[in-house]
Amino acid sequence: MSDTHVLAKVLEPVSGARGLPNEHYTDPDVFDEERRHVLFANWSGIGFGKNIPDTGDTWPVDFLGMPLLMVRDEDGSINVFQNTCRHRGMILVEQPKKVRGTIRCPYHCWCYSLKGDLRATPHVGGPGHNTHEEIVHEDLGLFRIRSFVWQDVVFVNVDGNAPAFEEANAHLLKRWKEFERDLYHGGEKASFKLEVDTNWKLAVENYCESYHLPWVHPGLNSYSRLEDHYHIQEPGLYSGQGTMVYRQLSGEAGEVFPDFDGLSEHWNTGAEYIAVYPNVLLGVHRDHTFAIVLEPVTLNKTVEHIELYYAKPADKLPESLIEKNSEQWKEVFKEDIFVVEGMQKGRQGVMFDGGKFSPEMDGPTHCFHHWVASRLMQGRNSADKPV
Amino acid sequence: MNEVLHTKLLKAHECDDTATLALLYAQAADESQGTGDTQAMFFFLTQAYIFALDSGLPVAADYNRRLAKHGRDVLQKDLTGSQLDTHR
Ligand code: FES
Ligand SMILES: [Fe+2]
Repeated sequence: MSDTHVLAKVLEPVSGARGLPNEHYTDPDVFDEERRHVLFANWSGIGFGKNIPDTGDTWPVDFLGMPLLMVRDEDGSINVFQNTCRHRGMILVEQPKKVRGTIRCPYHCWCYSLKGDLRATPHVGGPGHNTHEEIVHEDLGLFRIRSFVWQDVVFVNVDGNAPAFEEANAHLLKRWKEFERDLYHGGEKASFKLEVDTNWKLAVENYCESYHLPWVHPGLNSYSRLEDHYHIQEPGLYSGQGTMVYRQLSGEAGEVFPDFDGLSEHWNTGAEYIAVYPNVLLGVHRDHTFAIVLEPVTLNKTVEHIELYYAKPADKLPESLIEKNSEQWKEVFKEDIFVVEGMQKGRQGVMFDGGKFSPEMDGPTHCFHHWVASRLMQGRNSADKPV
Repeated sequence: MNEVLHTKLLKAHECDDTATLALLYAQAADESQGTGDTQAMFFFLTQAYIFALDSGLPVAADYNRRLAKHGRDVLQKDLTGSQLDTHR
């Protein structure tokens, strides 16, 4: 565990604050603590609606060792369950697959509906007897995990104690109300992932800040200079950056992606990039959005799952541009890999003290640290409750 | 169960062909019914039901109804079956 006094330094105003100490990137115990008080206690991203487009599609997720199962039901809603059979605790679904009406446990074939209700318990009362007075189906449905789908990201609150998603993210939902609309995934070419040797938080921290743009993304300098960016920092809520000079990608014949209908003028050249704490990174533009779910695999391994969305279905978009846009973003995200991996390595230096923030440039990063530290303090102060 | 059916069942299990399994177990149930082995009949019918359910076959509703009628299962009201109670 990191020293609570040191953690308190993170909570000071940015000018005097320290960053999160090394243990938060290097100590397995702190990783476990964050798993519980940060990632399980809040609304974390685990996947995308596009993973399970049709009724009966199931998608298992190992979220920090917790087996979860995303399921699209007959109403088109997404349900998330603990991926564990109520009988002997067998894992229900090991690979993404389409089921036809029931989720059948591979062990003794107890069957659950797409809404998690226990439907069949073959031979449970002896061969050919499928009921038993002690086996009350109503009491033995799959454990449901609280979930909410926003911007096609499937968010879950594993411990069930966070405020409702709409409440926790009310400020951001209002800010981006204009992007509350149908999004169309760009298809195969609009989907990629990057495996990075870093703690998940460093990916958030780097995403929030524009300070590094001129050095790490020199290619952006030509049209997107540092002074064209602004900080987004809402204490206790979210942070990120915005640009005032977003330029649409265009093809050889001058073709562009169709715009989202009815956006206000601000978005003609505006774009915003926000970290939805703890582990989801979103970007919005007049003609596309993207969502990144950071999968914290271990203390120092993170998978970035990246998906791009458009205003129209993929077959109505300029085909060559879909790939070009993905490539362009992939390039930018790849440019960031050496810094997030480098900061992870740097934190092996025992004298590193969390670092010194630039009060002018590091506000959004500090905003995130402050949020993490607050959640941990809260967790440490509250009585032990089982997760 | 006759040898031929037994072999077919093992093969279907091997390739996890649930629709065929439903069919074959239903045949086994019929066979048991014919020899008056009620115990085996409900066992095989249960197997047929689970695999029919898994395969999304409408006949699952019929099997369920048969099982429920004899107190062997709870009736699943929202299963839409073939309506024809073909298997008795
Ligand atoms: S463990 Fe799932 S049916 Fe027995
Ligand atoms: Fe970057």
